[in-house]
Amino acid sequence: MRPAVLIDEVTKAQERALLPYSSATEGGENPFVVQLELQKTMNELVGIIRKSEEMEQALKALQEIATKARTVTVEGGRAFNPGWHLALDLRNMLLVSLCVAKAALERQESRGGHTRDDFPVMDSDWRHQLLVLSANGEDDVHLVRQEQVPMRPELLDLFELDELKKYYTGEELGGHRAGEAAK
Amino acid sequence: MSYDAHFRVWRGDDEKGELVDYPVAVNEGEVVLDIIHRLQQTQAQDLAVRWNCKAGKCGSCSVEINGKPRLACMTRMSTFTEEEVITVTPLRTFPVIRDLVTDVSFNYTKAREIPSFAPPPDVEPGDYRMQQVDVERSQEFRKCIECFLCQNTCHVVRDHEENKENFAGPRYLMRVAELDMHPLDAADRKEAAQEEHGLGYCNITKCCTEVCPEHIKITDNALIPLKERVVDRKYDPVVWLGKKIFKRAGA
Repeated sequence: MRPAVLIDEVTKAQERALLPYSSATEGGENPFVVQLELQKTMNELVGIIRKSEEMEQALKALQEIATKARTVTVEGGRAFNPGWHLALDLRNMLLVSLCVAKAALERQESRGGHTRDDFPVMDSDWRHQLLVLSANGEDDVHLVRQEQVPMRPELLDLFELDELKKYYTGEELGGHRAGEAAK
Repeated sequence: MSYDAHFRVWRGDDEKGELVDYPVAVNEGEVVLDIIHRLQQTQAQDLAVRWNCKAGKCGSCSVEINGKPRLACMTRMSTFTEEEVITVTPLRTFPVIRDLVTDVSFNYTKAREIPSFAPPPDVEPGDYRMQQVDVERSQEFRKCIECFLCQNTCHVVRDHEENKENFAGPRYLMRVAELDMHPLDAADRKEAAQEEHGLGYCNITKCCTEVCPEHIKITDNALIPLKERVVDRKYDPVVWLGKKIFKRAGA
């Protein structure tokens, strides 16, 4: 059965999308200015090498940007209007920025593309920690820690123990064939 | 190394429009698309432009700069003098949607009119065997990014709306040539090229080759060889005589 369209939801989404055109946001922010500010904040404070103070500062700045993003206003018509498109995209950009900043602050280690100046080494205890972020309204995200599902033993056995030791903690290596053979 | 350039951008929709003058800052190393984006950010929020990769590989930002069809992202500002007025207009061959954005669906219609790759019926997928040297010739045409600059510049359709129905344009005649050159393609592309895709309209002025951002030799390597193959069949006196004498079908 095809799911029915919820007319109320459609109307709500429509109203939200048209908000930058309504008089409620008269004299509001230019979406391009807000985007530039967001880019600058994320580039400077949640960049390649990260520090906790900087990320805390970024989260504060993001709150301010969120307030501005809510009142963006656009000019011109609705046909192929990049200003309006950006106004719509800004919400998602903001949510993603919040997720990145919040998760980066939480993860106290360096791993892959995430490099922390205050925690410069990779920590095996963090390997099995997932940080799940979900949107809580338009300008807030909620962080939950979740355990990674352990690798199945037959798959774990496909790797050499020495290789696994670089990434795994002692406990997780318990079931490896090399350990069993030594018994 | 910053200076103020004088941009003249076409603003309008499918009904009317005009060239609007903008003074706009230019920094070292920037391209025309960067300046268009600066215009959006500072002076013309609703200036419509289609773009994606900013690296000359997606073929989205095709516009006409000082009358020449170019990719906005690959046209360096350093190729103009600081005093020069830079005029940016939408592709003329296709109907304008708004500002610099045109409706290029003509090209998609033409693409659908070309039957796809057709291997011989007795060859199963997975049994395709061919020599590298035989496929090399058509590989050049696979570089096409479908920016439609060649379709835009081709005088057969540029100012002749009436030809659009009968002419596939350089990009799609090149596609026909590519399939015709394919060692495993069994369909007869030669007759269709002439009768259905309007190869005869092309009079090899090489404008398409000149504007191609991938530097594909469209005219020399695709259209002329395809024309030769068509002529070889259609106007060969021996084939013509043979048909008369033996009433051979399909030749």
